Amino acid sequence: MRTHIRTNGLRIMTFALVLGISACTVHLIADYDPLLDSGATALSNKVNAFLAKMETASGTPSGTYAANVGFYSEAQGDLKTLELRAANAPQSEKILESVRLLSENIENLRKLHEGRGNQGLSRPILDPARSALEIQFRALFAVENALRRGK
Amino acid sequence: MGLDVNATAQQMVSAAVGVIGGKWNRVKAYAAPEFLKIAHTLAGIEAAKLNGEITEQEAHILLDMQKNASRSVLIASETMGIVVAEQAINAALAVVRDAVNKLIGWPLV
Repeated sequence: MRTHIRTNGLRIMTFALVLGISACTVHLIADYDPLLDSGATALSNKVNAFLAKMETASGTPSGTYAANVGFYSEAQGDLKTLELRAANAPQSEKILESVRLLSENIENLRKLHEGRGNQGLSRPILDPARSALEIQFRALFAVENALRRGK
Repeated sequence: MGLDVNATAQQMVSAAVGVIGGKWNRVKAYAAPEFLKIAHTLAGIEAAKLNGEITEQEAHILLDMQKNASRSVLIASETMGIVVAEQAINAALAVVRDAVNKLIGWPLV
């Protein structure tokens, strides 16, 4: 009798375990992170404001590379914070890659600005650079929106 | 003759479809206009180079920036596809869970 009860108990436990595994939700991608989302939004605002300022300051002392070199290290610092935040979450490789591509393009913008030196960033440089950065921020927001809706 | 914007955008879309596959229809509303914008920007870089407004080195850097932007669009599209797949799998599992709970008669799982 006691053996019978023990066998039945084992069967129920095994059944429950199998059901528990099959019914748990599957995670294929990182969860939505509101801090990452707000950090990316803040950086997007900062970059947009900088590009708008550079457009009007082109050819003036306030538009030179020397006068604005601090922006680039500040933006890279913000991106490093986003990268560390994303790296902390499992299955966040896609987000990490997006942040790294953004970092590469901020560095590309810095190189363009450095090359122009005292002339600053004029429209033929600014327009395509701005377009690329805007597309990248929208891509990051599209990912965050998809993650937010998916959870 | 300048860069064919529509043909370039279509080539980018074809490449993206190759990577994303069947989930393209779920992401094309986002990705296709972005590829078109990149194609327009590439044409603008070509024109600025021809007009002498930017140097060859600057054109290379700007092209590199567009390449990175394209990769970002592709990554976002892939991620949206993964989210859709995750939702589909979890919806299927939820159906199984409901059926099992109903069969047993109490919320076991």
